[in-house]
Amino acid sequence: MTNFSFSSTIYLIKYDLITRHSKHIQSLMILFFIFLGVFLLFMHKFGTITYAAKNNMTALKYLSIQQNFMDDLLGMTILILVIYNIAAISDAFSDPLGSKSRRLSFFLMPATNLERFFSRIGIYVFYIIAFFAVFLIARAFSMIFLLFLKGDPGVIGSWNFVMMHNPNINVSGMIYPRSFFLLTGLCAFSFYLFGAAFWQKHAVIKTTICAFIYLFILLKIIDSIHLTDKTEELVLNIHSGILSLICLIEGYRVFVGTQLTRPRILKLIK
Amino acid sequence: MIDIQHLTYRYGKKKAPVFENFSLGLESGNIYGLLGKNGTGKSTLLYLITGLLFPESGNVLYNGMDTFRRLPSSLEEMFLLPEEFELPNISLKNYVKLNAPFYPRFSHEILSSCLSDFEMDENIRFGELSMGQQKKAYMSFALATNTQLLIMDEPSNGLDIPSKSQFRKVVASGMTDDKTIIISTHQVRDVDTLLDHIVIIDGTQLLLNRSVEDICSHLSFRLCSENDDSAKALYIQPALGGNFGVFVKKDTEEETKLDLELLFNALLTNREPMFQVFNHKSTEK
Repeated sequence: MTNFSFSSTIYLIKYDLITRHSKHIQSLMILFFIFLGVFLLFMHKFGTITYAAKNNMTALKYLSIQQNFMDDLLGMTILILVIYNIAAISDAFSDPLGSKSRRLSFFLMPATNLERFFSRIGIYVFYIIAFFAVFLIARAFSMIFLLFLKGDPGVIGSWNFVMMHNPNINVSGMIYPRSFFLLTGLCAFSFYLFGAAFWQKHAVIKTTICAFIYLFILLKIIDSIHLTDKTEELVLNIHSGILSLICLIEGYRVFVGTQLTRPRILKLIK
Repeated sequence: MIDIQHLTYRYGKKKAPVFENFSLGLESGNIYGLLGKNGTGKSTLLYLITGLLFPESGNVLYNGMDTFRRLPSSLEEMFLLPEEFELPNISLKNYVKLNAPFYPRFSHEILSSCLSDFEMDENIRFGELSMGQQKKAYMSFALATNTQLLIMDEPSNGLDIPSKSQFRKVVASGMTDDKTIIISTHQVRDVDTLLDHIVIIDGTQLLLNRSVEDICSHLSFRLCSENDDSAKALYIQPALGGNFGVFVKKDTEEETKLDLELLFNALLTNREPMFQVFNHKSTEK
């Protein structure tokens, strides 16, 4: 007997997206309006001056400092939005486990545990794709606004999500979110997935608190060891990889062991 | 079909067991009535049968497979209609489109027929329905899944008076020899004409698992007459127009209609003599 059917998993994902569409739309709309707000604020502050100052070195230098600041600000905003997105997908993961009646219908769906688990990961993937889509749509909206108001799309039009840097101005303040999106992102993803499977109710808040406590302890330990920057990065990367793996495996184990009611901590220890 | 062997289950390590060394066998082709006092574990038993709870020890087998493994092959042949449920705010048609692929024997004809028996339209949205209407729509869907095992927890709760008789009609018409229906209820009068087997549980124990025919061949449920010696009654319940009682049926006596309420109360209040009646007659046979 096969333990995994792709079509069953797709059906489960489809079922979740359609039956909980209002909740998904609500989360993505919040994301969209925050993005739009940030872009419009940025345009209002920075706007098309960048283009006007393109050949003026003094203005360009002044703008570079401003650009640096805005890059950092936007980088921080995006970071907060990424965390929001992780929280939203963690909520989406635990949603069918959040109440007795929801758990009942979810676990009675004729599918294997693996299909059910992958269908939840499918919702994660949907949210990650939706996050980028919402970013691009918000950017397109901002550009249209700017085109109507000022006649050109300005700095927003040349922005790249992966490398948050305006190529019109050669500044050093570039943000490379590569490591965040890879190992740290995977680690956060697995940690929240485990939290969602483990707590089910108010999983986002509980996992976030645990994540902060865990990070605090981890950083304290790393500080006390006095490592070089390179070794520290290596240690952190190895740690992220191992933690991601543990969280994914334990998340699946807890998910499979989920009953309508159960003493979860006892089960985990067992 | 369902074989529960030496089941022990408790909700917490330090809590008293809901079931202890509990065994029960259910055969296909029957409609079982699962009765018991509040908190005796009726719903827990249903959840254990469907694999929503895992036994502490013992086995719950459905067609030879452990239900806690939640295999699609067993899940696609069972449907649980819980007492409380949440339906998504989508149309019934959409709901069927999304769920029907999971049930290989899903029948759109049964769905239409059940909905028409309940006098409901197919073009409905769950969010626009009252709780009772949602229950009727969900019940129609449950029957349309055409699963071999259909479990209903308090199905008549929330149904209006005409719907209760419609419910009996719908369930009876959906019954076939390869199916098993388990109805857990306190509203015995709503379902008594449907049931052909009675299972009564109480405090970790199985009190009774017999067919209605068997019960009626052992016991007589009737109004006490002047000639009856009330001491011989297994249970007496005062009612308008006299006392109703449960008596050991004499061989010459005609069979009476099963009164579930009397049977239940008799078993709870006069357990040993009731057991003796069934055991004695079984030995005689």
